[in-house]
Amino acid sequence: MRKGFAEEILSFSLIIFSVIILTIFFASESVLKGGEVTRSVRGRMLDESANLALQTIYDHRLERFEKTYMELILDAQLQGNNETHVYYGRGSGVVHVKEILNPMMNSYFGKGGWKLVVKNRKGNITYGNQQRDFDYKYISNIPILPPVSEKNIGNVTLHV
Amino acid sequence: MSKKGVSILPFAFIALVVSLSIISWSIYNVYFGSKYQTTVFHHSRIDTVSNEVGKNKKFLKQSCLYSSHYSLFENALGGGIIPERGTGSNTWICNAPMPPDMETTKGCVEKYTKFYTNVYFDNYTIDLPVDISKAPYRTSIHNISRGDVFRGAYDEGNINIILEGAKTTLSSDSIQITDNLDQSEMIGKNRFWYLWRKFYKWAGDNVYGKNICKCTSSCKGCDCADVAAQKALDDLQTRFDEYVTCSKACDCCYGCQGSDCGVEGSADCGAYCEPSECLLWEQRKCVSKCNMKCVDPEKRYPEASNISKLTELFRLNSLQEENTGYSEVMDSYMGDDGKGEEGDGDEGNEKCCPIYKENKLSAVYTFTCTDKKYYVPGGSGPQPLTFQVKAFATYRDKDGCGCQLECPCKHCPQNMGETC
Repeated sequence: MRKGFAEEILSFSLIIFSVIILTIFFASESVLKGGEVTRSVRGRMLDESANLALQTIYDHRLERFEKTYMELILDAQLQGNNETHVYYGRGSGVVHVKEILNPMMNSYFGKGGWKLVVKNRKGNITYGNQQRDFDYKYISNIPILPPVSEKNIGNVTLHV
Repeated sequence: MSKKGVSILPFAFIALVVSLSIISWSIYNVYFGSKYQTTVFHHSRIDTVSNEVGKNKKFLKQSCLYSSHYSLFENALGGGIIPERGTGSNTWICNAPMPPDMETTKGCVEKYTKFYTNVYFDNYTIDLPVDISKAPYRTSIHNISRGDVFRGAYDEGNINIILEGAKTTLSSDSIQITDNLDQSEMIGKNRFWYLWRKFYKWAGDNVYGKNICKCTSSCKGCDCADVAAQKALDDLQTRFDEYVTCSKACDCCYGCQGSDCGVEGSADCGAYCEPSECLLWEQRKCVSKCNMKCVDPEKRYPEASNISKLTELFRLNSLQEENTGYSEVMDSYMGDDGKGEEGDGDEGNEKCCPIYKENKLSAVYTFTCTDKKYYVPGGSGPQPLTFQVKAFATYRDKDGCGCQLECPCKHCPQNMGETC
């Protein structure tokens, strides 16, 4: 009787052990998949944010100057003021580019969570966090004046 | 003594259940996972290609804005059109007012807006392994009307630009997306039409031509022409607000005195002529091209196509009417040989001959007005908009240097000063 009881205990132990092993196996798979899904979702969210940010840079006009963010950035460099400010005449005045651009980009990616590099005929301008390396980058072309010239197309790279 | 065996059935059963579970799970993941992966990958590629189309549209939107501003900037420098290279700005006064019509200027602006946008579109590329084919814009419209221009509706810009006809097709493996790229954009903070409108009215009043004529009729030369141009400049400046500054520059000035002519009855003193108002003076020393046309963009930029042959025509409004009369007077004067000898006619007669001396004056001035209210996009960043026109007056007045009495009426006096 003691031997039969011991066999039953052993059997039950094996069953329980097997169930535990299977549970751990499936749970770990779920966790790993969850990690992948999280990364994938985060990537898609970053894609969406980057597209929205780029759309804002190209489309949104500042009311007082009737210029887009992209025009501000290019004009600041072409006018010879590096990336600091642009003068748009006595009727419009001066606009400080970083004061306009940084809050907008921070609202999408957080402070220090982005870097914007604009490449044109005069070289590169960089805004945002220049110390950090970013995982994703989004590139878009921009026209540069004058139209009929050797380098009339530059590009914008958004690093997030 | 008998041994009791250990039953292996429970262990076999457990092993079977575990194996079946793992196998089922693996098969499920492999089958559905790969199918899902294919779907996700396909959608991802569609998204990528769609994003590229979106980027293309954003690029063309910015190109449209820049092209419109640059076209207006160049038209302003050219005086309402974009003329051939090396001819300077358009001439708005050729003795009489000859400003370009609003439709002419509008047509030139539209033409170059379309051209520049297509240049940008043509140079647009994609770094991804995606094939792109493009159809350029066919139509460019600056949605303005003549009445509104003269009412000042576009003095601050606020012009609706419409570009139509362009398409793009992006294709990658089994994906192909074609999109229509028609767009409509609004440009503001550009006072091109404000400057054009003020210049148009200034040219119509022809302060410049009238003052040059006064100089001609008062026996004056280039010094007076400069004063006349200054008066025209002052008149022009008063028409603008405080943001616009105007200046002038003399391109050419030439003055001289022509032949004398007498009056009826003074047979000794030259040909018959009558005092006159300012007439056209046709000469080649100081000229400006009138009736300029907007040059085709393909001709202006020879790197894109061949340069057209240049035609130099000098035509003013009054040329056809006055030229014949001038020649007749000249011919009859030149035919009067021997008129200067003494002894002919009545001797001892103290009759006096009024001698008219002809004055000729030709001047070309460029009038430039710069608007500093709004800076417009340029190759070196935002810059003030500059509108530039030429004014050309070339006159002769047969009695411009007045009347001298020669008593007795014996012979014609020697011509004084430079003759021409």
